[in-house]
Amino acid sequence: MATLTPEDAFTAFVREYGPALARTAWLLTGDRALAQDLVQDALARTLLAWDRIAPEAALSYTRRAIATANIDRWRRRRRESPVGLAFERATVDAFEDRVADRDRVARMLALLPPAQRRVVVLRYWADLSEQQVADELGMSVPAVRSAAHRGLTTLRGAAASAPTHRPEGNAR
Amino acid sequence: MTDPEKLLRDDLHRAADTLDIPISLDAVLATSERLARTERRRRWARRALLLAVLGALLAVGVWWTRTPGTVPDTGVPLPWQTPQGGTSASAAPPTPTGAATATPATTGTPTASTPAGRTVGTFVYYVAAGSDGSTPRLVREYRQVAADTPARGAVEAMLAGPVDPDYTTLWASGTRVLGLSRSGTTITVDLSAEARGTTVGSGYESLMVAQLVHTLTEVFEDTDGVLIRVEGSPLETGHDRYDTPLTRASAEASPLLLVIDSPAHGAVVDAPVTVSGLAAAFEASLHWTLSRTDGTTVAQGNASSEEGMTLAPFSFALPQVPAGEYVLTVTLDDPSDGQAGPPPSDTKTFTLR
Repeated sequence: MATLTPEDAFTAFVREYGPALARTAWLLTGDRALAQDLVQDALARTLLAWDRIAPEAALSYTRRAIATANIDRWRRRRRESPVGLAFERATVDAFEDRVADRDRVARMLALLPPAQRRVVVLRYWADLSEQQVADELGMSVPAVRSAAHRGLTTLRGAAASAPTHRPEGNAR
Repeated sequence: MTDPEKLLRDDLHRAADTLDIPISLDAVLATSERLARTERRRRWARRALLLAVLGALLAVGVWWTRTPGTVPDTGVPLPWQTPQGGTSASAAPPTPTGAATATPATTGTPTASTPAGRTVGTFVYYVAAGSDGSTPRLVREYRQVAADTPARGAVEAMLAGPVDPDYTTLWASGTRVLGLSRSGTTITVDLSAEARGTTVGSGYESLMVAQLVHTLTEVFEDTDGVLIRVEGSPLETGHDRYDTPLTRASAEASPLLLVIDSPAHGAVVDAPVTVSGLAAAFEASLHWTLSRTDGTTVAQGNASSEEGMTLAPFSFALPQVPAGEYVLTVTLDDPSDGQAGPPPSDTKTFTLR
C-alpha cells in the first residue's frame, strides 16, 4: 500500500469496496438507482477528505457519508417507502426466487425507522460488533442494542403477518 | 447471536450478496469535482454575506444620523418594537414627531393610531447566518408589536432586525412596508424599492423570503400564501422572480432547524428556568450547556424534542444555579459526526434573578 499514489489507493478502494457499499446503500434505501447515486456521492466526499482519513478508517467514513446523505435526503423529502407496492408472487425459478427475496427484504426493512434500519444493516449485514456500530453511528452501545432489538422485533412481527399479503401485480 | 438474529442475517445476505450495482469511478471523480466547486462557492457566499451585513449596518448608521426624528411617509408605527419586559439590547428609537399627519398606506389592516399603545406578542423570523460554518437557518424571536397592526408591526420588526446579536435579517436596510392586505388565504405585502437592493446569494435568498413568509403566516394562518411585491411589481432578484404566493415548507423540510424561544436574549428570569424552543433533531436528541459569561461550564445535559427528524417543540428545565448572568447553548445532535460542518446550535445570554 505504501508504494501506491493516493489516486491509485483511492481507485483500489473504490474497486474493492464499491460493490459492498452499494449493497449497504441498497439495504438502506431499497432502491438501486438511489443506492448507486448515494454511494458515488459518498465516495466523492471520501475522495475530497482522502488526505485526512487514515486508510483503515476510509470504509467507515464512506459508510457514514452514505448514512448522512440518506438523512439529508430524508430531510429534503417527505418520508417515503423505499419500495412502493411490492408484493409476494409465485416463484418459478432460482432467479425469480432471489428477486422475490430482495423485494421481501427491502419491504421489511422499509418498515423500520431510518435509524433502526441503519443499525440493523450494519449489525447483521456488514457484521459489525455492537461497539463498532456504536462508533460508526455516534450512538452508545446500549442505544445500538436497543435499536437492534426493536428492529428485530418489528421485523419478526412483519414476517409473521407477511404471507397474508395477496399478489397484486407484476415485478418492477 | 440468537436465532432470530441469525435468520435476519441470512435473509439480508441472501437478498444483498448477489446484488450487483455498478459503481462508476468516473462518476465519483466528476461528483467530487463538482462538490469541491460548490464548497468554494459557499465559502465565497459566506464572505459576501458578511460584507453585505457590514454594509447594511453602515448604511443604517448613515441613514440614522442623517434623518434624526423624521418619520417614514407611511404613517405607521416606527419599525422598532422592543419586548415588553424591557430586556431589549437594542437602543431606544427616537420618538416620531409627525406620525399623526402622515397618510396611512395600509390597504387591509387598520391604521396604527397608538404606536405606544397596546401590544401583542408574535414570532418574528430572522436568520442565523452560520458564521461558525454550520448551515445557515431560519430562527425566530418573540416580539411585541402594536396590537391593532400586528402583521405590519411584525414585518417592520423583521426588517429592523433582531435583538439577538447572533441573528440577522437578510432584507436590505431601509426597506419599508408600503401596503399589506389579506384576501382569502393570500397575504399580499408591498415593500418599498429598497427591497430590490438585496445582495444576498441564491442560497440565502430562499431564507430571506422564508423570513417574510414565516413572519406573516405567523400572524395570520400558517397555511396562507404570501405574495411579495416591491412597489406593486413582483419581487425580482438576480436569481428568481417571485410572482406567485409562497407558503411555508412542510415541517420536515423546514428551513428552521433549531431555535431557543425562551429564555430570550437579554432576558431577566426567575428560577426555575424552563428552556423551550423548536428543533428538527435527528432522533430528537439535543445537547445543552449552561456557562458563565467567562466561558466556564456550570451544567450540561441532554434533552429531546417531541419528535425526531421533523421540526418539533422541545422543553427542559435547567438545574438550580446561583443568580447571575449565564450563556445557554443548545446544539442539535450530529449524526454526521461533524462531517457536514458543525451542527446547528443556538445561544442565549440571560440573567437569573
